[in-house]
Amino acid sequence: MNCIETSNLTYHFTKGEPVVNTLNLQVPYGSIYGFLGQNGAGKTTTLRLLLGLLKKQEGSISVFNAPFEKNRVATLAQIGSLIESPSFYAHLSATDNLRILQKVYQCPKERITEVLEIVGLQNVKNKKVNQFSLGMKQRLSIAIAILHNPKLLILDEPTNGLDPNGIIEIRELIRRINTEFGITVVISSHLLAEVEKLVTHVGIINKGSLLFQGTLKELNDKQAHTTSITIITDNNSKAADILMAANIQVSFKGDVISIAKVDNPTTAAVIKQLVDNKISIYEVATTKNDLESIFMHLTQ
Amino acid sequence: MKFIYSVQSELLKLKRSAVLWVSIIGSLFLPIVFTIRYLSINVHLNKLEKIGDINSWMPLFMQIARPFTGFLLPIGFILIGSLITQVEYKNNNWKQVHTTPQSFTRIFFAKYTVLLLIAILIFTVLNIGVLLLGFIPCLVLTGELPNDMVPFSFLITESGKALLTCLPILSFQYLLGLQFKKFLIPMGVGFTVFIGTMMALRTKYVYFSPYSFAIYYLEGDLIPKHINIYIMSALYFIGFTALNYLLYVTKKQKG
Repeated sequence: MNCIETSNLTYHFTKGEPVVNTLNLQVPYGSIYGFLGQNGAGKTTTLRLLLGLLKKQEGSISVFNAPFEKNRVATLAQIGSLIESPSFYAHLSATDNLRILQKVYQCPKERITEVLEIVGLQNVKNKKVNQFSLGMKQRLSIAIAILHNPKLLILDEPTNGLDPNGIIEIRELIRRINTEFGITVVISSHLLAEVEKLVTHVGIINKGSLLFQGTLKELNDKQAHTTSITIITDNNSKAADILMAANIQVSFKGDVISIAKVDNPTTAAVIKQLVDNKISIYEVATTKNDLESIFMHLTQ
Repeated sequence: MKFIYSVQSELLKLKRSAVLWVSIIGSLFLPIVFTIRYLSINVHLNKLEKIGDINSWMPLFMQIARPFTGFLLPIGFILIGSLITQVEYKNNNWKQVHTTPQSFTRIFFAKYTVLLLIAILIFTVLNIGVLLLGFIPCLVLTGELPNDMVPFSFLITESGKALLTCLPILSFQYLLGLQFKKFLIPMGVGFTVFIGTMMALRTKYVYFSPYSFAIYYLEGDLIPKHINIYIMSALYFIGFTALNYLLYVTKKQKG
């Protein structure tokens, strides 16, 4: 069962190329869905479409198994969101900011204290938000997003601009929200490394099109196919001949031997071949492919 | 009921902002100036020249309400109408507002209601100021209360009429405030048209300016005979509100 489903979702800002192109998103209930793509890939536009901040042009959006447009208000009552930079009234305190939304959502007043405790801001609840650090602002944004006990949380790059500690804190918070409260989370990022420890499912978008969608395991399998190794030995040309004789495709990057698309067993076999042939290995380096390389691989 | 919660939510946004204080101080400005003047030149309500049987409170109120409505209030409404949307633009908060479970109609009219409540607050404070102007010099200078009874129905009716002449300004400024992110645009347009209208007040068709009716309230002698400034004000107010609403709900990008 999917919490969000889009079908052929397309959006143009002008008459040029679509920013979102026939997108078919499928976000399962209970998952943490990492929505990945480089800057300008169409992530934020997609999330804005999902929240009704942009008017849909083509395709369909279904949230909680109902068309979004026809059920906008009822659907938004079950969604919490953080789009791009944190949103709040900087001249007010954290409590006042939550109070504004508590009025609209009509959730119990006690919920304000609860969410402040969840995000660890209970000690600064009466401090003006314009005196908050960026990390505190991000946490307040998450408190705002979960105030009304939503079933779905949409977070657009929630760790943007945070230091490593801040990133870890937010990551832990999101994991907790997902596991303890059973909230489905969609989290966008341009860094796979940033979310790979967190997500259960992944969607990769490039130039408005979905290049990959599936579980993290499925992505890892694909990633294995794009991993390459580089080797430096005491006799690189002889080593290359030995490997080619063993039907292993090699190339040279300068003086270094490079073998593309290798998984762990292949790496072991390569090392064994060289050792058996009395080649001294000085260095074996694995190039784990980053998101950009995976894009390249996926688009090939 | 949901609408009331939205209005309460909008009112909370004004907390710690200057809007309420500016409204209160602005409304009390003329009554305070006049009170000080009356005390300094030994004048009070009972001493004011009577015009026939007219209740003394009536000319006293008009003495304050006319310059207030014709000059101070338009400036106040240009500021408040432009500023009310800035709380969202400045804090990058429209996206948050538009992802709450509220219809666009509810959001639009909740903000509008807050503007109108501020307008009512302004006139309430103005009337309190007029009452103080009537009572304080009398009590301080003579130790007596004013001879005439306070004509509450007159004060309410006349306040309503004065407010009505300013509503086209308020609605137009709200429209500009919603359409333009940069605060200077609605402010600049507002002040330019208002000053232009003042300068062109003796020209033939100046009554087409939505800013003219408040000034006509001050300069009653200049009102063209064939127009009713109250009906025109109401029409402009309804027209701008309808146009503003349509522009807002059909906006393709909301935050």
